Amino acid sequence: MSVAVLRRPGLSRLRTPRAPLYALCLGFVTLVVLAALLAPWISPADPNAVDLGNALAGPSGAHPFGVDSSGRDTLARLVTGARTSLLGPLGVVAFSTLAGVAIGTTAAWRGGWLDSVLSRSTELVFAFPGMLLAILIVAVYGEGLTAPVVALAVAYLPYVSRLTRSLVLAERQRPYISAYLVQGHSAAQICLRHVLPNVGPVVLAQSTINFGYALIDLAGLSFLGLGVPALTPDWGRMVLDGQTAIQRGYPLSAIWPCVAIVLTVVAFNVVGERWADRVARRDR
Amino acid sequence: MNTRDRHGSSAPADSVTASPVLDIRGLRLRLPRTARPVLDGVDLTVAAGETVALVGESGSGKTLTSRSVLRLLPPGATAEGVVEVAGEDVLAMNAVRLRALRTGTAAMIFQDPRAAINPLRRIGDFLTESLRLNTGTPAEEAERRAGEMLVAVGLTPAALRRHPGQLSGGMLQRVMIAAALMGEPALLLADEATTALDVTTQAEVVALLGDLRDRFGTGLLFVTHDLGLAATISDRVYVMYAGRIVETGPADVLFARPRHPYTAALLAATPRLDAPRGRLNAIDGQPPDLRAELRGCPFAPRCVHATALCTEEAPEDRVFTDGPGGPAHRVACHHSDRVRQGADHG
Amino acid sequence: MAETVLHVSGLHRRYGSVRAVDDVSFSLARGGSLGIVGESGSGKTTTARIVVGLESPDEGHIRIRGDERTGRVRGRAARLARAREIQMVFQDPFLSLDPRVSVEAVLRETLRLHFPGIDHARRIAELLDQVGLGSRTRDALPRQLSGGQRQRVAIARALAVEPAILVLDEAVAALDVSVQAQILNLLADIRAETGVGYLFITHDLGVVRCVTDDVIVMRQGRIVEAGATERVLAAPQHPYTRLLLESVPRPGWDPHAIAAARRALHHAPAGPDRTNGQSTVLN
Repeated sequence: MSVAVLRRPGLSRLRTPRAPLYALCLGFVTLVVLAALLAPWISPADPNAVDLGNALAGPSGAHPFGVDSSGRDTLARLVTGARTSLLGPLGVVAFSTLAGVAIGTTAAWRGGWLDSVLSRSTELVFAFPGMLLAILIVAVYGEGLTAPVVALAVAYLPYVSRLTRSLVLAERQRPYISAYLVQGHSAAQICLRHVLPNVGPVVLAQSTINFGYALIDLAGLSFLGLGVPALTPDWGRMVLDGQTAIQRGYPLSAIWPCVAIVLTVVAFNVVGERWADRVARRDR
Repeated sequence: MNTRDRHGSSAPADSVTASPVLDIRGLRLRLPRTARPVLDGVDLTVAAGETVALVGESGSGKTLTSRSVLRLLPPGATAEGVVEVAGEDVLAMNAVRLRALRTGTAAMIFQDPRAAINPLRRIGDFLTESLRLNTGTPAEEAERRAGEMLVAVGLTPAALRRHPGQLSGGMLQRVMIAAALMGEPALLLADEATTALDVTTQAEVVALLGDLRDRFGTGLLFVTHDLGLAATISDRVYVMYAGRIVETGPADVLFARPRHPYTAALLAATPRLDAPRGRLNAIDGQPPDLRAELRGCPFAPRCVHATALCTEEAPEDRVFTDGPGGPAHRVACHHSDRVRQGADHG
Repeated sequence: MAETVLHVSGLHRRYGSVRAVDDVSFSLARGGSLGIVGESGSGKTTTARIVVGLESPDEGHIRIRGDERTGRVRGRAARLARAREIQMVFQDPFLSLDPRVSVEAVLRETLRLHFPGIDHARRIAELLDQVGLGSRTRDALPRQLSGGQRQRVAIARALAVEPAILVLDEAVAALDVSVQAQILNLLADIRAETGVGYLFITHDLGVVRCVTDDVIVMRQGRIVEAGATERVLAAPQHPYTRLLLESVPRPGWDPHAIAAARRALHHAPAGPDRTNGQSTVLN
């Protein structure tokens, strides 16, 4: 019997990166994602349990990160808040990536008037600040996570579609595409089976970076009191709630969510850029 | 073809006695993550006014050899040996001397002129840039010289104001040659300089290079995969295989009577206009992989003359003198006596 | 006289003010081999792309076994029918294969499209054997193969559909001499075995001599000379063909004379030799 130690490629790929910053960021991203997924089970306390008598207490054994002005446990709110704070950007990125890739690929492949129409109309969105669009939509449709997510997804779409379009245009020039056409494959088949898998990694790396930006934009909206309903734990909302506490000389309940936002955004950008780099190098 | 006389005005016999402008001795280049050196003891000389061809297939190390003359080594490469340009060791130079070498003493012409020139700048800027920045020549003076050089390569000074996109490939390669000559180099390295050109344009560029060599006395190292071209333009030829020089000698002798099985096989594999039609004598197999270690002769696995000795022991150079007082014909093969003339091979 | 599989007549294609292809006509006999020779800008590659349907002509007709096959086709059935008649091998073996797809998957994909519902394993082995690739390369990705091996894969992929015509666009130009000879021999063997006809696009007269029966010389979109390869190369009629032949480096080569001849031809009107251009090929 042969004794061959097989190692799954997925694990070895995680092991190769030596850069400590990347490893640290990847670890942090994993931590935040796990916290969001497992929040109901690992949250140390009920994030919405109000204890006015204990308001603005410092860190203690019962509340390691302290409590806010309504006496709610900050750590519990951070952990539970990770859900909304990640779910929103996830929606933004998923929608903008899917729609952006579809539009970009269609524009690049078909060319001609369709390319002009699609490219110009997505570029119109550039002229309109995403945050402003979101504020407008929320003002019309009222509170809720859906409105700002849709608005930001529309605002992020042109970045993805423009990137996809240029990648597909370059890929289309490659003779292997001509080879498949001569073989009798349909354009749709070639796009789905060959072009998209080849440009996919680059687009996904870009989307990871977009995730960080979307997170900060959504947190900004929450901070303005738009989007997330008042009682839902959310990092942006927590900064807003902690604002009054800062004036009373107790900044801790606002600082924690700020730290969480900044670290998560930085971690996602580092990871995304690293992936983009690696994809670029593999193409050499 | 019935005429056997070679073109070219310089006599190969003279060039051997002249002091070399390029002298490579025992150059050994290692790259990271390879099992054997990519260049394994390369010896090569080019005299002033001499045209030397370096022939080989992709991966043979011919381009690395020519690039190491300007110390343009790949990242992580370690080099041993001596690479002397006009008497100075390139591998031991400091940064200042190296810059002087690259801007003056030696110049290189690349395969794809369009990739080697900034498409947004005018031809004039491209030609004068190095002169103005490195020697502080005033712009007008530099421009005048650039105009002269363009005339020398068969263009008009009006091209100074053109952009690269407005010139054809052949014209652009002339511009590259003019640029290479701006620093009055003693040595010109042409790395597949005519490969990307059409065959009729190639003739023009080759004619031009020959003229300029005669006029300026520049030594010319012509790196190419084209045996026919090497045979017609050069005085001496080096044939490379797997990082080693396997055969070297005067061009006419070497191609008329190759003594290394690889040279003979390459000649036989080339589709020619003057050979009988039909199947070609292909060389079976692949060149050795860089990741595999080499024992003995690198060509042995593909060689029809190979014996047990060939896989055991790397051959030493054998020297043949095909004519009295003629330049040396060196062959790294155990069985060079068995190799018959290229044309009857197979 | 052998049956004609490909008949091209009066092909025209303009890009802006440039006549890339200007009144090109030729035909290819069943199992024959026709070379199209020319320098860059001669229109030889555009002609090839029109013939396989990657581009549409402004004017002119392409008939394959008597069926009209001009321009892009609509619909799956027509697409597959054309693909089964004519296939193409491209110049750069490093770019003509999808970097993500293994050798076996490349062939399986094609076989599945054209011959669904058959056991493909045997046919794949057969194809690999036909192009001289061992079974060890089955699972290899393009980047693990050498240039020559990749070109063999591309040839196997084209042969998978058993086409009547194979268009080879500079298919050996990017290969080293020793590998090029292997591929040229392989192509000769395949033609002898399968009776596929070749349309061989190249700039290399040595290669043309080696693999074609008839040849067309193109310059600036027009056919300047056509005829049996042996005759055209031995006794060229058109000055441009003569210049091309003289430009090939060989003993006694005089680059100055070629440069002068090229300039002379450049200034002369580029009038094609019409009578010569059609007589021998449209047989």
